[in-house]
Amino acid sequence: MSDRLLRTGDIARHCGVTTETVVSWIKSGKLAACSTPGGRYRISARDCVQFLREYKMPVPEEWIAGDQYADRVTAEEKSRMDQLVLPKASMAALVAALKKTYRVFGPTRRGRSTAFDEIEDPADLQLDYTSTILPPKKFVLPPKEKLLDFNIKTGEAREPEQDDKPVAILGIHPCDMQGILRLDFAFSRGHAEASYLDRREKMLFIGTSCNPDEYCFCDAVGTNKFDEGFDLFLSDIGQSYLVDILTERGRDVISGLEMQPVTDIDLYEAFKARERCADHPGRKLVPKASTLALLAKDCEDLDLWEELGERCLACGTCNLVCPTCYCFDVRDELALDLKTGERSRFWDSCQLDEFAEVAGGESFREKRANRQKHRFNRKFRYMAGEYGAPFCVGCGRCSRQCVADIDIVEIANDLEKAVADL
Amino acid sequence: MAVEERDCGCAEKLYLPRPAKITKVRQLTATEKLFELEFEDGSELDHQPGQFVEVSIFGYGEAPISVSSSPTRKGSFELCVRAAGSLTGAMHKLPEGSTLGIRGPFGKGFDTEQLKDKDLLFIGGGIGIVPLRSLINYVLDNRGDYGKVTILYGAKTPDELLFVDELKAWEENPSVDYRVTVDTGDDAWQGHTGVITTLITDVQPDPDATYAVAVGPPIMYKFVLLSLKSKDFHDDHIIVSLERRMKCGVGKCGHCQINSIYVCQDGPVFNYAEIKDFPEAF
Repeated sequence: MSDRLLRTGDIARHCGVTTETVVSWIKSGKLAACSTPGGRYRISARDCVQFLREYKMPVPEEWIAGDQYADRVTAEEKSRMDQLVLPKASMAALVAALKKTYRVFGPTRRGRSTAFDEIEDPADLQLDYTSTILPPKKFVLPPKEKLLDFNIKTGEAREPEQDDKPVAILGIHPCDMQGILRLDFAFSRGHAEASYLDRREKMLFIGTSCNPDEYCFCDAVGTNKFDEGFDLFLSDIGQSYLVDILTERGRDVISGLEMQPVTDIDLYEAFKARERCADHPGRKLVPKASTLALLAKDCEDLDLWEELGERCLACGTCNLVCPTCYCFDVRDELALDLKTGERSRFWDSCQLDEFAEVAGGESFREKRANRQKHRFNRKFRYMAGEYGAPFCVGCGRCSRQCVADIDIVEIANDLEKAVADL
Repeated sequence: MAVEERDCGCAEKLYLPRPAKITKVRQLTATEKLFELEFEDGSELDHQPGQFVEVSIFGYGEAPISVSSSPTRKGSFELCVRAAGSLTGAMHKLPEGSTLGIRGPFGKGFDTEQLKDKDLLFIGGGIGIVPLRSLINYVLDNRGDYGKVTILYGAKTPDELLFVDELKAWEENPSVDYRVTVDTGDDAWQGHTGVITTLITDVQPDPDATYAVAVGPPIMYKFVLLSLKSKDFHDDHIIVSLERRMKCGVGKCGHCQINSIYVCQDGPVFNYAEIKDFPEAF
């Protein structure tokens, strides 16, 4: 398939501006373009049409008709093709389609950060983000979750009913999707937990490609996977998204939307968008992910852990923001009538003093150094051994948000160095 | 996304307790009571010696308690509880006829098959006698399946000895070598004084034919293990039961972790050989 290419002059003439202005649109990211080997900008007719529509400017007929193929795919094509293009201008239509069946959650601006929130107005969606404060694990494992309603007088107890409307997450990154898959593993093995699995089964995941920062290291732990766990994956190709349809449930979502066929340029741009996760600034994980388990084992007795213990404040932030931490505490709360009440579970942290305490007051992990060691071992050795891949997904949240600036990549690199020095 | 096969029947509703009635309460010592319980629906607990249950009292929460009775004694099961916290304190105030909730049984108990035809050296330190009693009575109820039975029990003072009626029965049982010690005696105490390891020095078990089953507080293990090693015991002939903070009982909440294992799933009973190298075990 090919797409007609326009020059900056073509667009400038149509819009009544100078070519310099068009170049400034390209440089500011408003208009997608590629360049020839000689450094001249070329803009695909389709990207230009979407740009004009977005800014509500008139569109010349010949640019729309200029494609060899129809601008839109047919319903029949949508039912069998696994890759299609969705213009960014159609995000509102996507959200509307989702809202018919799901409660829609996506990344939104929260102060200077990003956080997953319920999307009522599609304009609130902040899909161009690196990371959120809390990972989307809060949707599969709520920070507070009721386990039972009970009545002390009658002795009766009941498990709560599940919510009616299932949840769709729009704009989840591969690292966070891999985090959810690891939680699925934790709640399926051994005693499978029905409430987690029932809620999880109904959820829809639409992934988007990421803009990593210096804390990210998903590629080092192999979690930059674009086809696992998602129902749809959206790769950012400028004015549009290349949509990979990965499940039939995902296909149902786009069945009512106007989609476009994929061109070679689209495929290339999508590839570049995904490659951003492999090639980004900042610290790199020095040891290979496959060696981390053995590294942790060899470093059991190093002083390095003592130093970390000194710096750590045992605040538990690292566990709260981690996509694969799921330890919880269980507590009963009475209503004011002192007859009825709830038994609920709450996110807990192995870094907190009381976590390993038994009746009588003895703690089996009293030193902070040992708790830091436990966290590292759990992510790269214990759970990794059970799951078959590191349990840490490389999202960088713990390092990004640690009050004491403890950085999990630095820990791994220091361990590697310490072993080399031995 | 498929849901894996459930392991045991109780995994359906993991957190919903089953009601059980307290049919008998006996004060054993100043701080410990023995509760006899029956499920309201008449079912058996169907446990292995060494397993535990989560006792639920709405408003207080739950606490993990080892089952102290043998599964050979049907119709009811027994929990020996020390009043150590808010839930166990509340439990002590419950009269006969009250109902509480039970989840379980959970965990890996003593391997009664593996111990068949072996000589058994039971070592109970203090409250460790509580889960050990479940196995001892199981063995005595199936006496022909097992070899020599030696029971060593140590408590801090004579007042803290648990199950005194049964201790007498074990002492009088000709097929059992029962020895008891206290750390400090009182005026009435005629028996042995000294820590539990002093009892181990007096026995001569055949290390190839004997399995040692030791249960007690963390501090006890260090010395008992040294004592057993000095008697040439193999690591894999030593069975221990380790206490951790079990909350959910189903391997999810994470509180009972010893390094890579969940005590509520892979324990609380362990073969010493399999956990001796875990830094957080002892």
